Parts: sequence; structure tokens; C-alpha cells
Amino acid sequence: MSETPSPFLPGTNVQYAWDSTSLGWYKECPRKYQYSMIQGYRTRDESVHLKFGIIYHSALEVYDHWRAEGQDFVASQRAAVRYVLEQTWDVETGKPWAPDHASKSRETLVRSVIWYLEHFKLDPAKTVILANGKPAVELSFKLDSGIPSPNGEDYLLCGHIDRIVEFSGDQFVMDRKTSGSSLTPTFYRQFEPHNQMSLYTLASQVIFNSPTKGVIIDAVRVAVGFSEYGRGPTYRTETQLVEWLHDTKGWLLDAERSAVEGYWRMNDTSCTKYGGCPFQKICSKSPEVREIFLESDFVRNPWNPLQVR
Amino acid sequence: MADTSSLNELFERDPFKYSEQDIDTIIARFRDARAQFNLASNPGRLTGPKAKAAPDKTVADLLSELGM
Repeated sequence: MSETPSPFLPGTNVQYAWDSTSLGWYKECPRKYQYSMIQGYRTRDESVHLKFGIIYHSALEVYDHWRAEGQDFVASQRAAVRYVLEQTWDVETGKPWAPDHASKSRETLVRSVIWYLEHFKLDPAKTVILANGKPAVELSFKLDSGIPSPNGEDYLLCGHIDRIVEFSGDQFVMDRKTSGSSLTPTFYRQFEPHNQMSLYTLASQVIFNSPTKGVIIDAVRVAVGFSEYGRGPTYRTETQLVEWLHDTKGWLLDAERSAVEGYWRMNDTSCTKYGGCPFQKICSKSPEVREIFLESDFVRNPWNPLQVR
Repeated sequence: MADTSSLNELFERDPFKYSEQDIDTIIARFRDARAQFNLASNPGRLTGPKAKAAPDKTVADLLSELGM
């Protein structure tokens, strides 16, 4: 397999390939972006959430693929469960993945996948079949933004679409979300407006040349003793997408300036938002000791928007 | 919840050596756990629709008791 290219222009901290995660970090706080994207720091908890989320997504993609290729429910579910169990097994130590987390464990992951497939056994959302005959699942995309980067080429907007579906006669991106909180109307309201949902609607329209209406949030709440499921649509109009792209240009140029200056300013009004920034305890310390605390309290796990899943 | 004794045993084994039956056992255990959870969350489903109880008295009985 070929190595994933760096999302940064050679020899610089100018990021030319952006996904909704890294753009979200920058919008929230340039300093958070510095710690997360430029330096690649993660909390240990965050690493658990990330691994849990990636395997959950991938297992359901395995199921979608099997189904789209004509396999029946039982065989497809079996393939998805086998995938989870193998991905959470450390071949070197011969032991299962055992994260130190109350609700995110190997067992709750297997349970969440099995219960999801049982819950949506008769799924009213049907996977779209692309012009090449393949099912529209696990689609990694790279989109020219039309915004020039310092090397003269356009900044890339990237991402990974779980699934494109037809639902009630309309086309939607379907995005799976794992949550620790209840799936109330408040949960779904957070996606309107929302960086990722606007980007994914835009990408679906441009790359797949399809009249996508928006995104269906396909959510699971993972609790210690149960997993519950819910779905909610979020719509985007053409003018909303144009506005989002216009704003994105401003953010990318701002990020470019920060990279050139080598300084990512702190947005001290974001620290307690979004459930609380994991770097708040770092930013609350004097600048000269922050790196010491970063090294001791966080792990390095670089994020690369160009990584194809 | 899932039958933890057999599940724990299965979860400790190398999944690359699982048989199809092992996977089916795991799925069945979690499917049972889901059914139990659903029943516990919706106790009404345990009993289903209640049979309409036979009336103890008719309107005529009541009218008679009231001397009407």
C-alpha cells in the first residue's frame, strides 16, 4: 500500500487538504487546531472514542457492502460482527482491546453493531447505486475548493461519506454518529448549521453529481447497559452551501496566515463550549510550561484528512 | 443482558479462529439481550392488549339497586 501523503505543503505548516474535523478545530480555536492538527495531541479518552467510532463505522460499511453485493442479512451481519471482533483483537499480545472507559468497550461496540443491524433490519433508507454499478458506501472524497493555496493549487476539501441513500424519494448523505447523550431534539439541532454536514452535502452534490437534499444523522447512543438509535435529517439549500463555501475561504486564508506566522491565537471564549476543550488545562498554564504538560498528559496521534478509510 | 459466562469465554478467544457458529452464538446472545432490554423498556409489551373484563353488573342491575 502506498503511504498517505502529508496534508501540509512541503516544509511548512500550511495545511492544503482540509476535512471537517480539522476545519472545525480551527473554527473553534486556532490554538486547539495547533495542538490537535499541527502537533497531533489527543487525550487518552479521545483515542478511545476515535477507535470506537472508526470500528463502528467500518463494521456497518462492511455490512452495507455485503448487502449491496447481494448477500442476505444473516451473512452480512455475521461479516460485520467478525470484523469488529478481529479489529479489537491485539494479534501481538493475544488479548482483546480493553479501553479504560465506562461505556466504550469491546462488548458495547459489538452490541452497538448487532443492535443497529437488528433495529434497521428493514431499513427504509436504500443505498444509492452509483453510475459505475457500485454501492454508494464508504466514499472518500477530495474536492477542489476553488480557493488557491500558496503553491498555486487549490486547497482541497476532503472527507469520508458513510453512505448515500434514497429516502422518501429524495437523496441524502447518511452520516453515522456515536453519542454518549440522549438522542433528543437538542441533539439533532447541533447539526444545523454544522460544518461537516454542509461540506458533505456540497461534496455529494459536486462529486457524485447528485441532487442531495442534506444529511440524515444516523445516531447511536452508547450507554453502559444499552444502545439506542435515532435518525434526524438536516437540509441544505444551494444558497446555504454557497455561503458556507464563501466562509470557508475566509477560514482557510486565516489558517494560512497563522501557519506563515507560526502562531495560532487562543480563542478564550471557546474553552467551555462543545462539552469543554480538552486543552483548557494546558491553556490555563503559563506558556513556558505548556509543552511539558502536553507531553505528559496527552498522546500523539496525528490526524490526516487524506487518510482513505 | 447477554449471557456473560459464555460471552466472556468467547471474547477471550482469538477471533481469527472463530467458527461461523461462534459468531452466531455471539449474535444470538446480544439479540436476546436486546429483546430483554426492549421488554424491560416497554413493559406493556409483556402483557399485550388486555382482555376486556366481563362487567360485574349490568345497567339494569344498577338501576334495580337504586330503586329506579
